[in-house]
Amino acid sequence: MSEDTSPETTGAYHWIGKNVTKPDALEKALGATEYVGDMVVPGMLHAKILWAGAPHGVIRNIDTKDAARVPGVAAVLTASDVPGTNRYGLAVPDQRALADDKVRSAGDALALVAAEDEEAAEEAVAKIKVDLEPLRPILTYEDALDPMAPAIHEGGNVFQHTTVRKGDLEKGIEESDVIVENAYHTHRMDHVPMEPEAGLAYVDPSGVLNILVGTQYPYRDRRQIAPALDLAMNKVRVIQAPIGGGFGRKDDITAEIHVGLLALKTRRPVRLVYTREESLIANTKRHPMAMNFRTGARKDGLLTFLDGDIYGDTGAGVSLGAYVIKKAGIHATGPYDVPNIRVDTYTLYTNNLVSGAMRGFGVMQAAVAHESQMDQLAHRLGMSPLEFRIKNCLKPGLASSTGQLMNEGCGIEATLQRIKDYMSAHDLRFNRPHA
Amino acid sequence: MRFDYFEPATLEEAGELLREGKGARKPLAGGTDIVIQLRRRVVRTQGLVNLKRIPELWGWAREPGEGLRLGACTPMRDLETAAAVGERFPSITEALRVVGSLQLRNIASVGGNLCNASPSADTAPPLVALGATASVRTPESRLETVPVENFFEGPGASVLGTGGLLLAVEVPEPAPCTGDAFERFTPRSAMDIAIASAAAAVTLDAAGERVAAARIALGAVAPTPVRALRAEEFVLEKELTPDVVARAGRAAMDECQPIDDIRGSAAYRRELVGILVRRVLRQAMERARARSETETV
Amino acid sequence: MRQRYALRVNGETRETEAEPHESLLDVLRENLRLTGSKKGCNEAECGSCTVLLNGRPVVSCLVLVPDAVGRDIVTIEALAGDGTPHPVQRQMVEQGGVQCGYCTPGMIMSAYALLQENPHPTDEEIRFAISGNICRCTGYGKIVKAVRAAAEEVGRAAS
Repeated sequence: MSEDTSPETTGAYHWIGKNVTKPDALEKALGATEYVGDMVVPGMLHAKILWAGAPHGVIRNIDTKDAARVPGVAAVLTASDVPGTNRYGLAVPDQRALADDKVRSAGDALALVAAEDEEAAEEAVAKIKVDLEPLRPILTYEDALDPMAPAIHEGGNVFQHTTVRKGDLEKGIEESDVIVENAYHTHRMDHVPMEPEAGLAYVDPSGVLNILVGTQYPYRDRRQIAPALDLAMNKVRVIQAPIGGGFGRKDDITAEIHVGLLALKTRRPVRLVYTREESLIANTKRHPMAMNFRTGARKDGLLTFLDGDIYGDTGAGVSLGAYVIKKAGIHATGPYDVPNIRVDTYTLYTNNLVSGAMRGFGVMQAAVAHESQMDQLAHRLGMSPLEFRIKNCLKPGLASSTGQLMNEGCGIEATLQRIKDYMSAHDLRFNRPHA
Repeated sequence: MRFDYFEPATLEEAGELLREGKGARKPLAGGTDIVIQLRRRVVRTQGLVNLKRIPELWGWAREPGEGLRLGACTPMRDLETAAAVGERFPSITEALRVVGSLQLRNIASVGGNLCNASPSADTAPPLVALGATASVRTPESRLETVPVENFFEGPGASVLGTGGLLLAVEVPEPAPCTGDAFERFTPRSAMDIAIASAAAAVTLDAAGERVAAARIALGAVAPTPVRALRAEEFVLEKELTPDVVARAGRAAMDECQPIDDIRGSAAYRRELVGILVRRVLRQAMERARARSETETV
Repeated sequence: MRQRYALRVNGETRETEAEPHESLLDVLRENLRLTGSKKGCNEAECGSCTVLLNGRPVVSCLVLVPDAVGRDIVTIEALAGDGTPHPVQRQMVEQGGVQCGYCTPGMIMSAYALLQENPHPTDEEIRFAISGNICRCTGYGKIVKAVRAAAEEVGRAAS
């Protein structure tokens, strides 16, 4: 290989290729950084949440009388205590700050407690009595697609259907010498940021509700908090606290509305810190997807078509699911040139936990399917999986599944070539024999 | 999880505190299982009796030719880092190295790992394979010796019942030409719990060829850690050729009784048993051979 | 029942009141306001709460407070007690081993304990020493590099 003379290694760039220390790294290494769970303010109350724990049901009654009598308890709140819309959500406001008519997932919050210490708050939560009339839970793709199944939200359980169409599918099938067809399932996954969700709220002397939270998006938080609590936008201030990992899940509302509501009601500062278990049962996850893919290629190794369906389980709220699942469809071909395409995606409501943004945003799930298909096609054709990819990858001048012309920044061929060079320089081979 | 807390200085005091509790108090060693169980409210107790300040329950001793004796409250990490243990009983060290994290093993005790009586307890298969015994103090203050193999009665249950105490574990000195090994399978290579595990102790004949004695123990594939008796019997007086080892693995697969749970299916566990038994037999044999060479020199 | 406990923390004796079922981690964080030790799981899975007890790294979330009495407790706050960051702390910053920072104090305590015991660790020994500390940001590569660089720095200073 020739010597590397790229600007990254020769130092021609001002920043790229240099070690830059993060400005906040030293205080973190000293243990001095205060995350929300480390913060204490005078007069602060501690909050706890009663989670639904059941996937689907009509709420007949929530009895908080005994809970309110626990010594040290300052407030026990349910949906009827929420002054505003009680709704939030990144795409559509389909999530409740506190469940009102129905429970839609086990991760729904039913009631909030604020108390002088966490133990009193926990004790009060344990004393809240919930009368829930169970409904048939919608937990699978099949359930969600069943027209006879109860609708989780008004408007049915298929939230969105998107399509990708390119070329002539029938022609692509006819031209194919090999066709592989498979079903792929990916699982629900938690981001597990090391810092469980936390929030700290207080009303300042000018009447502004201040909320400290490790969030990925303070302004969008504010746009959701204000209507839910019936506050003017300029009466809510979201303060970005140090964030102990997000990976997408802290794009959504987490503790904000709950601590905000408790601070408004008690007129005292309130801190809420999730346990790890709460973090696992509440808030967004990575979408599970079911993908049925049929892909063809010619003897000479060129891809001919992709015929696929993608079903995404967004749980009891859309969050960013409509975009994530649509994106899986757009990326269903991967970085490869496929002349004939039919891909349909379905964003499905279920009574599972809400899924939202997570690193890769739908592209990862699609990759499980398209890369497996590529391996199997290469095997059937007797080609090296690497050569097969180099032959079919997008190159300048070609267009993506949705017609985006590849001009600048299309590095897949160079990347694959580097892998090929590396493998031959180090005498590496694929485990599975081909040709 | 409020409870009373006691720190007895002697065994007698500890026994008395547990007796007074009439089953409502529990002994506390490292606490790495029970504290979590109490927090999750899967276990409730009125009181914890901390045994760690009782000197007899602490420490370990290894005299060449006289086996290994370890106090029930000895932190796992003490044994894990002891060269004298690893040289003679590598399977014990191999099992200790994979329990939780290093920070956990500085707290957790071997005795606690046994008393928690999880079918997947990592320290159990090597101790069973090595023929270790447990010194037990019954609720009536009698001292008894129980083979570790018979210590477990079911998931979370042991011969201790309520009020009994595990005092120490004794591992006998292995016969000449004996080697031992432990292996387990986990999806993640750190901080995980075994889907299946196996340990073997193999004694070769004087020529270092045929099996003179063998003990094979399995973890996480039955309600308690168990021996693979048919596999043991099968290898007896045979050379451990690849074929014999493979057939021993199959015999162990047939005699274990795994269940389906969140960590793995019964069928998957059974497959693992075959593979793990093959591996530990081979490894134990190699160690026995290496030892027979050094012992005959 | 609430009791008074005297704990030896970072070389000082600190008196505090707590219930015996409270963890050392909670007492350090809530009572003594030493919040550098983090609570990531409270079940010994993540290592964010790692402190030294008599020189050995432990998960403070599973140590009941009475069990810490009479033992030397060292937390992340003591490592730069004289105002100079420890080489592990400095190298974590310089090698890019710190991202969100939440695992960082626990990670540093594990690495610090390793270097106390073994000043010239191999990469494998470093990985083993931090295998009980979960980091979701870095992928660990830069943390290992930082610990290696810190070991070299300590080695140079000693020679």
